[in-house]
Amino acid sequence: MGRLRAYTISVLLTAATTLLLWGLRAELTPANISLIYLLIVLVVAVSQGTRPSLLASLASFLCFNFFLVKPFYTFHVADPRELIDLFVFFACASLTGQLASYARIQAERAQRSRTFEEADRLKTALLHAVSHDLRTPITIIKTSASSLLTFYTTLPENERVEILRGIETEADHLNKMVGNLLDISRLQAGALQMNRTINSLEEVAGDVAARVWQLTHQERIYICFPDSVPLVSFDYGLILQALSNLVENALRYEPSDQKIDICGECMNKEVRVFVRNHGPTISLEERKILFEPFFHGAGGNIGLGLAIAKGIVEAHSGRLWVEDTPGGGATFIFSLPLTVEAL
Amino acid sequence: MKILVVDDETQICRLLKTGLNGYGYEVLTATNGLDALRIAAQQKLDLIILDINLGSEPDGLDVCSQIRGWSAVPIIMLSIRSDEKTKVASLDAGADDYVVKPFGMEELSARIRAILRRAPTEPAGSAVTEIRVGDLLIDLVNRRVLVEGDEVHLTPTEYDLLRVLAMHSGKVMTHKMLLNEVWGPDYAAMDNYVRVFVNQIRKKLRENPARNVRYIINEPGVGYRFVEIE
Repeated sequence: MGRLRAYTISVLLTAATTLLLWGLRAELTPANISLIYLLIVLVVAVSQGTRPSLLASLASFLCFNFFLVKPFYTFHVADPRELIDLFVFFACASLTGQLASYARIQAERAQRSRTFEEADRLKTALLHAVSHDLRTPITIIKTSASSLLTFYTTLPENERVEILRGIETEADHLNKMVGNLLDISRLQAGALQMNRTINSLEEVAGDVAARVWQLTHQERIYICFPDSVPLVSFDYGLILQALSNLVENALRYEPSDQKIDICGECMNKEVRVFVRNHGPTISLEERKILFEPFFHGAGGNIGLGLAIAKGIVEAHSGRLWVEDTPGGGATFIFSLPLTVEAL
Repeated sequence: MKILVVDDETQICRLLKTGLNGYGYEVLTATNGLDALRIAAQQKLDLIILDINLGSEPDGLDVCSQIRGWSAVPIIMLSIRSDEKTKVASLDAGADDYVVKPFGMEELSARIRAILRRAPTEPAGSAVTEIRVGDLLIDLVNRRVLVEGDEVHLTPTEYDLLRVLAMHSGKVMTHKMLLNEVWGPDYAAMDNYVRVFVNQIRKKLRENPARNVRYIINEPGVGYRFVEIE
């Protein structure tokens, strides 16, 4: 089907060109005509491939001869010099057509191998994550359960409880990692289902702060959202996850006696959220790879948190980047475009 | 107390049975929707724990709405993390709450206790004249709201929204339920009304989530839950 379409396009283009040239034949020199035909053959070669371009060369050659070379409406050519013109034209058309379509194939091949390389790199990182990071909690769970089975009666009560707590913690850990892996693969495959509604970013910040309180029973977050920050359209659950990941990352490097800030700001045509910590500054080299999947710093886990946050923000046509906190530390900033109603 | 557990994984049924027995509940199990409906029709149950995804027809959502056709028995749905639409659908279909898999037995039993505690007082609740949580006092008779002893001025709509949430304390209310009760059935699609008003109420109540001062809790993608009144 595709091939038939390519041949049809090449014949139709040649026919249309012939009609045009025939109408203008009084104004044109044979050199004009052959250049225009040549252009059409090139177009066919680049857009449809080698064989359709050969067909276009042959068709132009015949049309040129039949309609546009004296005597008209016969394949007979009166002037032998024009016969030379015609054959040189045919040779040029076929050759350039071949070259152009060859260039097209090369470009496609290069594009495909780039995509493969990218996918391959991710696959390697994914395999590493699955084999190493996932296996650790599984090993702990398995070993804990089997030692409970074997030594249940001889283990003192407090040690049994400790082992059981370990199983629960590792199961939570595992659950989180599986969730992250699913998220990153959905994001990379562009298969994320979004439920965008008008929402408040301050509410998201509040949710994140409440969760941090539940986990640490400490006030580790300072929230500041001026009233000028409007509601914007986003998927609440996804942005909550993106902000949680940023905050989790910021808290990991925050001195224990300080609070991180979550601040909102409305500027130009977007709303920005700043997650500011006061830990070490991030080096330029690290900045380049910080958001890549499976990159993780000293205190990190599987290395998907920031990549997921970036993926989620970008799926909302927003941006996520990092700057230095004045006086030391890192500030992660994400922006979401203002919705039409809010403008 | 008799609880029916419905999950297509026999392992999970068995674990929940053991765990809930430990909390002193009598437990029946079913591994598909048809069995669940049959048991729910034959037995006098106090609560049903129902997996949303049963892997066969009828699924958890169908079972939930069918049971609601003839019974008000409390239903807790078991769902997976990312399945917000189904959570909302099951709550709108009459489920009382949901718990996200994987969960701890402690969390599940806390939800069960909360539901059983409020089950007999609903929907009456007419004897309640005031609601007190932390520093918040809602005087239902005089429609007054006080935070740390100071009167807070709420607009009539803000007050109604707060009252509806507080009257169902501990229960997840979907946007649709809140719109229906506060604004009326014609406003069912105006999700952002609820958000805007909740936001205003929170500011007036001086919530500070970073210090665990919270009266209205978000259930992302689902709705809101007023804090449990112990």
